[in-house]
Amino acid sequence: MLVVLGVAWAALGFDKTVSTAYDAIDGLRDGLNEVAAATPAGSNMSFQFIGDPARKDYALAYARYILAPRYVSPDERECDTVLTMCNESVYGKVQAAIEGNRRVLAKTRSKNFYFVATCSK
Amino acid sequence: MSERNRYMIFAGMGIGCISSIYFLYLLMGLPFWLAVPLAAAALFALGRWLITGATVSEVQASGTEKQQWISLVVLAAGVAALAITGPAMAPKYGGWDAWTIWNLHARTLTDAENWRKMFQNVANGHPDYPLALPATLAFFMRLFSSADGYMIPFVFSMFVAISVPVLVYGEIERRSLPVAVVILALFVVEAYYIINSTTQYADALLSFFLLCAVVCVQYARDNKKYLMAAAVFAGLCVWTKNEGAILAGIFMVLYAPVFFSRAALRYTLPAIAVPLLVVFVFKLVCPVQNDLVQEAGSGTMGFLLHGERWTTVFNFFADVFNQRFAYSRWIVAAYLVLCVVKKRLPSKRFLLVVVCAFAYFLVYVVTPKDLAWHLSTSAERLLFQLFPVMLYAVGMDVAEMGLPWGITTGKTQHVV
Repeated sequence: MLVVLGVAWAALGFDKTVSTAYDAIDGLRDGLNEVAAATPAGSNMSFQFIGDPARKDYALAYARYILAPRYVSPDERECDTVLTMCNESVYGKVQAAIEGNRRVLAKTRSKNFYFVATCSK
Repeated sequence: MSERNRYMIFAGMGIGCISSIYFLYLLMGLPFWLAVPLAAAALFALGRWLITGATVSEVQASGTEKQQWISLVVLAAGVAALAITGPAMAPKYGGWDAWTIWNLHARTLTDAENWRKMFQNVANGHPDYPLALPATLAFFMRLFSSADGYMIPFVFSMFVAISVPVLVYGEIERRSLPVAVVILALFVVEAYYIINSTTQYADALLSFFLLCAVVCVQYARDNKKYLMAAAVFAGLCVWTKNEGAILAGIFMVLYAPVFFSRAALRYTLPAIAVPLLVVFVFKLVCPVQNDLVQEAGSGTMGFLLHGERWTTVFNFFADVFNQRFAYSRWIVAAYLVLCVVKKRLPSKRFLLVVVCAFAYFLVYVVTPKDLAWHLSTSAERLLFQLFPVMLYAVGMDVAEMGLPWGITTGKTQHVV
């Protein structure tokens, strides 16, 4: 009983103290949730991140986490469906390359990022 | 064993039971509405078997009513302290490995149709990691329709974080309340404990299972159901993490006279076979080998002859012990001094911790990965797995030595 009470107390405290804090996963969640809604749970996706290469690992890991159970491959040529993430500062320059000859499944913007899921026409 | 601790043991075994049933349910493609009553029925049977029917020797060590109240109030204070400090230190989505491995696997397992996609994520995804934690989380995520949320992994991590000291306290306070209070306080004040418990990794669960196994084996000679429980927990260590096989192996070898005597074999073998069968099925289904095993070649053993690797690992372990075990290292030091003064060898429980730590030491010496990177990314967590058993062993030994200031609440018993 004590253990249950303790866990309940911790759960209440957790919601208050931590959930409002900045978290990078939260930063991407809105954009990726819309991508998830537009793609079947059984789909595989390739991943491309345009911008700072140092962030690629993190962005891929966040995308994998939020989009689970979809498999998100680090190799952008591996799957037909491609998830592109890029900073708004570069989106204008690469938009044509991302969307030009492909069908756009979902395109969202959250925080400073664009999320575009495309597949071949 | 006290009734309270039988509930804690039941909780530990329940986790193993739920995760196994959920994994087998996924494998067989059964509907979830069937998995829930199956799990409930298994838990009910388990509860009846574990909690009822205490033997006289299990319950004889109980103090006066006043002592029991004091003990309960102290425990409540300890639980409250953990419940307050835990959320303050917990990362919202857990540590890196939580959301790139453990919770990711759990989220994948919530999808009965696509759960095998977990095995595609070979690069850094570690799909070979056993499923005790992810399958338990996935079961509750499905049950509460909360695959998206972060609360279930956190709540589960807090459950384990609180259960461990409650179990340790319950065992030690039957021998000596003051010693139990000191050990409980160590769990509360040692930031290392609560930080690692709330990262949502499987290390905390593994440490809980190992602790349950060590606690159960203390009663194994008096009551065969604890012998079976200890064997099941050893198997659950393997079902929780790959390195759990090392811990379980050492545990079984050290307690071989208990587990493998002619009379005990008929209890030990079927008990450990159940979780090991689940692990075996998982390893059959999982197409990926462990990365360490895969990368290890014939030259790896040659690392044993590299003196500088021994020094590097030793220095790292010493640093972890000195920096992370901020308070508990003094208790361990005092315990060792006490052993010398009392002319007593440390118990088998403490020996288990030392041997397991040495086994991990050797794993690092021969690791095919970059040694510095491997140490910095995992050594602290691996030693954390031994932390609860270490405090339990030290507390029990000190309580049993009968300190001059010790006010024992019961008789010393069941020393295996």
